Amino acid sequence: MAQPVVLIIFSCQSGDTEKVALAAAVGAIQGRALIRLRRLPDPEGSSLTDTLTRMRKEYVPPTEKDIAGADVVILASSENSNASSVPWSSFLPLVRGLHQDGKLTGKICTSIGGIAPMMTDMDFSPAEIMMTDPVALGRSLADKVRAARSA
Amino acid sequence: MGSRTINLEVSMITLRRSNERGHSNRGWLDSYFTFSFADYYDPKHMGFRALRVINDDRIEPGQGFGPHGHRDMEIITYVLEGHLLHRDSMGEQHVLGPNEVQTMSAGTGIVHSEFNASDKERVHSIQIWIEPSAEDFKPSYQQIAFKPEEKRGRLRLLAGPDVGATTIHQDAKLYATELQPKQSVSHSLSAGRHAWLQVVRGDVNLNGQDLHEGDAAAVSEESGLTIAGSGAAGGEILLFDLG
Repeated sequence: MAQPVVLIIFSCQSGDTEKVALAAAVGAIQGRALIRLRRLPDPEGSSLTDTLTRMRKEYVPPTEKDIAGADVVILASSENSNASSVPWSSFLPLVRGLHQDGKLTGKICTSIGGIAPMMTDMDFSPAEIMMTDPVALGRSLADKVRAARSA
Repeated sequence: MGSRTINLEVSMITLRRSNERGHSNRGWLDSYFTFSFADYYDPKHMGFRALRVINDDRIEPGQGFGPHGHRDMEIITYVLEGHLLHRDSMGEQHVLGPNEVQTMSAGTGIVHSEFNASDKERVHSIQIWIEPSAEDFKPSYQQIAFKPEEKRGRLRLLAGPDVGATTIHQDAKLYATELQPKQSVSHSLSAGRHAWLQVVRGDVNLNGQDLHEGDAAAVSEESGLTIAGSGAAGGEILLFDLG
């Protein structure tokens, strides 16, 4: 049986949400999934810190192909983000379009942080567990895919 | 040309020549694969005993592998030239250079990135994967440094199941040695044990067989190995003693 693919898309300038994304990725690996970590581009004018310089080097932005190839899509945002804040304001319309085209059908989609309440109409369930134990969330979603496949 | 097996009485040495390895060049990363890896797949070369991967990587300045995951694998990195910057989900962040060895036990799961730490120099490194003896070990990270003379003309233990080097969860030992022309080292293999010899630099001679950079030899049913430096400048090898 092919390994589940867990895609984690996050926005982060400080490194805090990156830690949550990494923890969810570790959980997904514990659940024997393949992981893809993608970071949204920074808002224009972001202050260039060492952390930001590093993350710009280490991560690439998500593509539609990434989403198409994933069994699980986790969107991770900071608590003070919302659907109109950059960079989510330019990324969420892509997600909405995929949802309307039925391209998210069959995928497990979940979101955390400030954007979560705005995502429910796109079948992204808020993942409350994520804020306390992102490792458990990643693992449980990977397990869920495996269970669905073997059912 | 396929691998060549040489039977010497009861011993068996199978050569794996450098030019028989898989090869991938992505521009920023030029890799030779001793065993099947990524897009290189050859069912005849899936590993040897618990040894699963030997990748000979050259990474361009400032480039590297973004965060990716591993599970249930002992991952050993040995740098020949340049410096690699490692970061992982356990919070480890280290720079690895020549005369050091890094061993990461992925166990239940780990995410890490590896980048060339320099914006000017290329990195030449060897990445090794060894299958652990069991699944679900606790993830761990180790890095040790040693003096260059510790591997000159003698076998320097880099990784093994016991103390004295980095620890791996497998009945396997990894040694490095650098040999001047005609300088030699010997290694005894206990009954039922096997060896893999990988030439990472220069030229050597293994029990009468000439091996060059990138060449390797699988050894079974042999009680002793004699490895000598050859060519104009000798060579450096990695030697695996495997159950």
